[in-house]
Amino acid sequence: MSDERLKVKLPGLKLKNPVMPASGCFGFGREFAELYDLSLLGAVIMKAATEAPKYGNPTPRVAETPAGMLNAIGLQNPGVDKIIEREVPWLRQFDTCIIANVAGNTTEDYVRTAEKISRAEGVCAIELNISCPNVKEGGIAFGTNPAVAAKLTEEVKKVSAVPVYVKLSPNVTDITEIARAVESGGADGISMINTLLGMRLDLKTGRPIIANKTGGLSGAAIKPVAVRMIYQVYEAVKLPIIGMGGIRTAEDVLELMYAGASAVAVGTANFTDPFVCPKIIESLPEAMDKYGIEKITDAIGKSHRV
Amino acid sequence: MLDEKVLIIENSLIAADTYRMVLQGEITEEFKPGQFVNLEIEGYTLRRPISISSFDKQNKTFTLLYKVLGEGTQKMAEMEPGQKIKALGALGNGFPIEKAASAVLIGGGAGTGPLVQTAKELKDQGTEVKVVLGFPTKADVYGEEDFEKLGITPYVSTDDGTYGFKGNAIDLIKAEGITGEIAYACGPKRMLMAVEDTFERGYISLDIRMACGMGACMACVCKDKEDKDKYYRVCKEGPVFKIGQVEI
Repeated sequence: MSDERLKVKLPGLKLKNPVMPASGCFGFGREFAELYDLSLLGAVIMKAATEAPKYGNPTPRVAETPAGMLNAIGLQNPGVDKIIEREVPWLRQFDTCIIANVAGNTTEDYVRTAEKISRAEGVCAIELNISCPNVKEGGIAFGTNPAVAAKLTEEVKKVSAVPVYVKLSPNVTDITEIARAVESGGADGISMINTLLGMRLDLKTGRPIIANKTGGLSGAAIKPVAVRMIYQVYEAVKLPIIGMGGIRTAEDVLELMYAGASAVAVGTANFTDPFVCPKIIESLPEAMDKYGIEKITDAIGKSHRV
Repeated sequence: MLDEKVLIIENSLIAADTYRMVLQGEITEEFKPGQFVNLEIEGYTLRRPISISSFDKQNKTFTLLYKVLGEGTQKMAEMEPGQKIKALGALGNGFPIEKAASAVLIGGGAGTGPLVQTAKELKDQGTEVKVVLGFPTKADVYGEEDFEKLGITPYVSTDDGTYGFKGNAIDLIKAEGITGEIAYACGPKRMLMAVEDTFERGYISLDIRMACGMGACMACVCKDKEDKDKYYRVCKEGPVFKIGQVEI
């Protein structure tokens, strides 16, 4: 099933359609592959890889919120070596692009992890995670200071064999500042937005529902924030953007693309409906017809041209 | 694994905030005792994971015994027979029906549900089944009739003594000298810990906040008791674990 109208090209990524599951909401695809053919997807963004295996945070790790949810998983993953050994080769059986999300505690381990996974056969691009709000070290600490973000991007770019998309945090005063910084650091693209820091309290016990106390807010509730920030970043930098934040429908895809995204990732909606990605891809041409969009690339940044 | 809009046949109040929902769908075909379904509630982001209490593969029906604990389950309680609800399942591993001369099934509060089909299948293979149920108070007591239909009269306790034995399910087991070759338990953490102290062989089913319910998101993990680097996804490798296998 190849629809010319849906094709998008980004650095390192020739996508048959602009829709991919977001990192952390899809594991390494194994569970979803029981439900549908992953070759339908534009790409798959794998769960974050860190240098050493990581267990993550204590439970409860999730809580529902109005039109969304909080999570504080804490980057649980089997470590980059096992991901390269088991998950990447398994994903290669599908006709889709593999994007590796890379996280770390220090510049050094970010760099080593990125270098390793960028050389794994089949990995088309890296999504550099400088925006996880749920780990004590690393993560968001790299994504809230422009100089630190630029430096890390530069170091990772030096060693990466594939294009690097830096995943930005919305938990900053001015996201365009960080976007410009990673552009100056040599990023090939930007992916945005990660979750918004939030909290929920249990009225019976008075304690936070999530064991980590705070968690990242995702889901439909954050879509307007994503649209606003993508709109701002599109004007601030020349880099292509992979947009994410609250997408549930083909219309949502168009909205993020109008704001400036060249492709999109679907996260939390996979939990509400595990078939959401193929459903969005299937309904995208109809939504494009409705709004007079001939090729999906015509939707990229459309709102900046009207 | 199927994600199917299943038909609600019955949805009735059976105890304080506790409902019996009977559903019909093709999804029933792969069910095993102790597994669960993840239900989509319109207007809510996360699905509600609910244990399958019992099922009838011939009629393609299954029963959920669920407690209203928040907005989502409240919405479920308001649904009417004839309406449909989307169910993803069967999820989780379920209770293994092991060969044993006798078994003790222990349910605490909302943990009673998944034991019904387990009791049935154990009894069908010739195991002598004893069921012990513990609740906070009389108004909370449910499930007796589900076991009585199988020819099993459950032992019941309430914390305040307003119905049956005064105390918890484990107190009752000790007071009555109830024994069995194998135990199957589902209920609050404290009860499961007491089950592990009382029985050597058997299985416990964990209840934990989940998101995807199918093993992808890592929301519902627990650790191995021995190997600190080993973990399990409660929704995938669980919710049923061997006694002594995981940190409760």
